[in-house]
This record gives sequence, C-alpha cells and structure tokens, in this order.
Amino acid sequence: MSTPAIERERLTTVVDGHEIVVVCGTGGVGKTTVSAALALGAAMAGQRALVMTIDPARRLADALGVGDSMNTETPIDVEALLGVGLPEGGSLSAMMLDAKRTWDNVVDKFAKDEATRQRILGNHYYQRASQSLSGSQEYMAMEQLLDVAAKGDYDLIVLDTPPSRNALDFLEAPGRMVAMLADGALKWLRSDDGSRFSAVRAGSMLFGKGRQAMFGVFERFLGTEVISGISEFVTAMGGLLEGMRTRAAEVKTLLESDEVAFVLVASPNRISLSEALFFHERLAEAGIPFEGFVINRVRPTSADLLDVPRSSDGIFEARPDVPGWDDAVEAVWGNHRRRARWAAVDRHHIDALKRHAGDSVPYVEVPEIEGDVHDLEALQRLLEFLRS
Amino acid sequence: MKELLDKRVVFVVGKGGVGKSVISATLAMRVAKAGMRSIVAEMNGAETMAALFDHEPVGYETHELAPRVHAISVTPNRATEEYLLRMLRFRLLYELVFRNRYIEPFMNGVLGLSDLISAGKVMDLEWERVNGSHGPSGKGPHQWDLVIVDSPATGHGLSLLRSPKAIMDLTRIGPMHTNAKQIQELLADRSRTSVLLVTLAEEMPVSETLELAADLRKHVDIDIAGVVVNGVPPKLFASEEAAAQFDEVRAVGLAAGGQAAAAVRDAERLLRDRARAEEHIKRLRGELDLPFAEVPMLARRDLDAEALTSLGTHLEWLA
Repeated sequence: MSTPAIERERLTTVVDGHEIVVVCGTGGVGKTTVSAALALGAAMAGQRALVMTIDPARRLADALGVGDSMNTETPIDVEALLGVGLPEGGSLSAMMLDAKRTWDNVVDKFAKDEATRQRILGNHYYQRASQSLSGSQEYMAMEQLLDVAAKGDYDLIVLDTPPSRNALDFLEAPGRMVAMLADGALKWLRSDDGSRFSAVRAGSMLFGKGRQAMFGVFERFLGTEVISGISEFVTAMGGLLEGMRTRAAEVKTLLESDEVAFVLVASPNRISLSEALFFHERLAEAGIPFEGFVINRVRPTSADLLDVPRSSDGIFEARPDVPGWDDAVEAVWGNHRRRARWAAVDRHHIDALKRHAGDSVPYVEVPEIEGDVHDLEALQRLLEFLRS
Repeated sequence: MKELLDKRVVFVVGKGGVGKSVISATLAMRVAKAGMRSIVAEMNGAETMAALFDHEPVGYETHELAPRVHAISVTPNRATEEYLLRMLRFRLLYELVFRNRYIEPFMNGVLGLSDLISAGKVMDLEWERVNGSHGPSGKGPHQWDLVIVDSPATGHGLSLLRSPKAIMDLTRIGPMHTNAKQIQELLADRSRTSVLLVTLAEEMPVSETLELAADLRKHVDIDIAGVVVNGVPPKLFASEEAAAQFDEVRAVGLAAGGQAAAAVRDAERLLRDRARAEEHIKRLRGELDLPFAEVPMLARRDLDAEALTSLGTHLEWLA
C-alpha cells in the first residue's frame, strides 16, 4: 500500500500535537481499536495516555485487563502484555464509560441535599431517562472527559465516541439535552415551590389562559399519573440543571479549543465514506479542528486489477490428466482476481472521497488486518499503519 | 424452513455495519421471486434501500424499487405526525396540542415516544389492505405479503422492540396504552412476527449477536427466526479433489513468482480468513439453536438488483 508523505506527517501530529483526540464514526468501522491504538502510540512515545471508551469489545477490554472496572481509570501493564516496556514517562490507561453510573455521579455531585439525591435516584422516570434520554450518553461521555481532563494527569486523552450517523451529534447532543431540561421546554412540569403538579397551571402555561382544556386532550393521551410522575422527576432534577448547563458549556468551549482534534473513522465503502464527507463538511462549517480521516479495513491487494489476466493460461500449465488440478488452479486464479477487484472497488470509493474532501485534509488508510484486533500486539500492528 | 415467507413482519436486526440493509433488500428480492409483494421499512433515515436500487430517496412514501419490492423511509417526525393526526382527527387540535414547543421535546425526549410510534407504523403497514382500509379489523387481501423492517443498530433496534412494553408499564390506561398493547400483541404473535439476526463472522459482531439474542429472549416476547451470517469469506475449493491439489499448485506458483505467486498468497489468505470465520460461526451455532444462513462477501459496487437476487439463493433455507 502506498501512502503519500503528506499523510505520514499528519497523523503523528494528531498524537503529538493535541491533548485530546475525539474519535468519531458510525457503528462497526473500528473506532474503538483505532482509539486504543492511538493511545498506545502516545504511550510508546513516552506520554501518559488514556483511552476512554463506550461499549468496547469484550475481548479487547479483557486483553487490556480492564474487564469489569467501569468508570475507573485502569492502568494497563504494557510490559507484561507486550513483553516490551514503555519508555521513561510513558503510561497507558483505559477507562470504560457507563452512562447510568455517570448519571448517578452527576446526581451525587449536583444534588443540593441528601433528600433531593434520594428523591431523584428513586424516581422511576430517572431510571428510564438515564438509559434512554436522547443525548444522555453523549452528555455523560463529556462529563467524564471534563473530569479527567481537569485533573491534568494525562498528556493525551483519546475519546472513543458512541456510534452515530451524524458525528456532530456528539457535540450538540449534550447542550440540546440540557437545554431541553433546563430552558423552559419542561418548565410547565416543574413546580419550583414544592407544590404538587397542577394540570390547571400547566395547561394555562402551555396553551394560554382560556385554553386550558387543550391540556385535557394531552392528559387523556398519557394519563394523569404519567404526567405527574414525570413532573416529580423534572422538579427534582431542577436543582441539578444549573450545574449541568455550566458543564455542557465548559465542554463545548474545551472541544472547540486547539487542544482538541477530531478524527473520523470510516469504512472504504460508498455509504460510510459519504457519511464521513458529510461529517467533515459540518465540522468545517462549525469551525471545529479536524485532524483527519482514518479509512479502516481497506482490502489489501497483491496486484493491480488491470495487471491480473482474466485467465491463468500461460501462468499455470493445464494438467487435464490430473484430477482436480485444473479446478484448483481456476479457484486460486478466480480468488486472485476477486481480491484485486475488491481492492479496486475500495480504491474507487477512497479516491471519490479524496476528490470531494480536497487535498488539505489528511487521510490515513489502514489495510484490513488479519483476524480480530483483540490484543496489544494487534493494536501495535494497527498503530504501525496509523503511523506509516 | 418455509416459515419466514409465511410471516407478516420480519425485523432485521444486528450491530451497525453488518449489512442489515443489504440483507433486508435480499430478503425482499427473495419474496418477490416467490411472487409476493413486500415492503422494506427503513428505520434510520439513511435511505440505503434507495441507494441500493439506484432510486431517488423514497422519503415517507411507498415506492416500488423493483417488481414487487417496495420501500418506505420511516422517520420519527413524520410517523408521529401521522399517528397523532389519526388519533386526534383534527389537524388544528394536533397543531395546538402536540406541535406545542413545550410538549414536543417532552414527548420525544423524555418519554421516548418516537420508538413506539415507529413500531406503530410497522403495525400500520401490516394492517394495510389492498382496498385501502386500515385498522385491525380490515377486510380483503393485505397490501403487503411481508413487511421487512430494516431496524436501527443493536441498542436502538432493541429499544424499538422494547418500546411497547415500556410504554405499557408507564401508562397503564388511555389511548397510548391501548396502542402499545396492540403493537406488543403483534410483536409477540409467533404466527405473524419474527426477528432475523444479522451478523458477521467476526469476534465483536458474534459477541454482540449473542448478547442481542439473550436480550430479545429476556426482554421482548418475540420469535427469532434465524441468523444470517453476512460477508463470509467463500470456500476456496469446491471439491476435495481440487483441495488436494493445492500443495502442488502452491509449489508451482511460488516457484514461478509474479502473478502466480501473488495468486498463491491470496489463496492462502483466503484459507486463513475462511478458517477463522468458520471458528466464529461454530461458536455462534454452538450457542444459538437456530437456523443459519451464510451469505458470501461481495464488493459493494457490485451490489445491484441482479446481485441481490443471486445473494437471495443463499437465503433458500427461508423458503
């Protein structure tokens, strides 16, 4: 695989020149392994590196020795796993994020007293919201990132983000979630003076005086108990929102600073690459520092398709008298051509991406590595490609 | 294994990137071949179906992409609007109550209603009759012989299937509850509804599929029809006789160098890939007592209606 020199320079910059690298992409493209490899690379260059990941591969987590330690920074014994020690000052840690647990921590941190804390943790809708509230996972990932970054224990933090079709979601979701909870959208549910939820009050607030009957339509839909249950939750959360809003704003400032670089991982197919392109455009519009595309699992070729003759005539002799020989040659040749065609298809798509995204954007291509990437040695091989 | 074609609704589920859309399309082509009409309901707004058939984006409307193969892109906003309008009967009431800027974020953000409503749209498609009538008590032939749901990736796909029960737990009474109950009954009806799991023969997708199957069995009362292992590296040799000649082919090829040696190295790579894939499939089969189909790896640019039809032959166990 040939990689122009300009691409080489750029990816090293990602590891060396920033304090935080955010790795984005849709599901199944290899974000987690790319993130882990980047952190390993920094550690091997003598830096203190941390990879934060959501939903990691079980076996990768086990191989790194961080199997069950959720939400804790866990040092990885690179020397024991790899047989080679890290240089002076270098260290590698991993942290797996659990959204529910992070929510609980946020409640601990921002609840004004023990009674409020208990009221929130025990609320049925809290249990639900902490799992499924839109933007919740993203908010929680950022919450952890901010905590860890503030301590200053690391030279590089690599954040593996939740899979999303539009990777910008990751930036916007936390703010949206907090805004929804805080900035009036749910005000009608809140009772700031501690009184119980009142349908009359909510109705007149939502629909104006004289139109409270509208609320009846809504109420019939869901039932009063649902609305008042959620009201309890939103009211209890009310005290937390100021803190959460400040945090969301801090994170946004941090992510837009020069300390942070965004890397996008994509697969070499039309759909994944066009999403990558879309993401790139959105980042540029938002003025967010973009450090490059990692095009992962490019199918390697041992030959250019145009160089592979259609038939094996003149390359392998025919042996009609040997049973199975001609079939075997044909199978081997057919596979050779098929692989060359796969590589050509991948090349075609990658070229299209480069044409659209332009020369100023760094690209790194990583060929499909044999087998699964589930140990440090495989990560090291992946890293070679990220650097080479 | 004729069961799947006799069903009314099939949810195609799996991890992101395993090829759910391609398998949904393949299944639709297979259904068409049997002379039946199907509709693929795409649930993530990506319009992959349209892309596969070289068609303009279909949006929230039914389009025929190939003979007897239809598609619709179910986006939560449009589905919600349609659903609420039908319940309320008056657009003005809908606009006033549910397009209210305070209520909208509440419905979708806090209650997570969009999942339920998307699932409800699947039920609507199942209900649809040729004569245009809707609802559970419609008469006459069905508009769709099979509704194929190209579901969102694992986590979200699961919450889509869990949404009726979740809403039933929350509401207990009222039109929302009634609706959730109807959807739940459709999901749980083994004569009408199945899940088809899609995976790759690789470590992570296999692990996630096992988890997903366990979650479906634990949290969703629904039939699992089988597992489609997508992108399987093909067998190199079709016969024992040919396989027996490989050592000799290898020796000759490596000695010759050039393209011949490259072809041998490619063959060795395939043999290793295939052996690894077989291990993963073995693990999956060992844990899941379900029918399996293996679909070979294809170059994506090759994917057109013709390729989808030929892929369909690998789903023969379904018919």
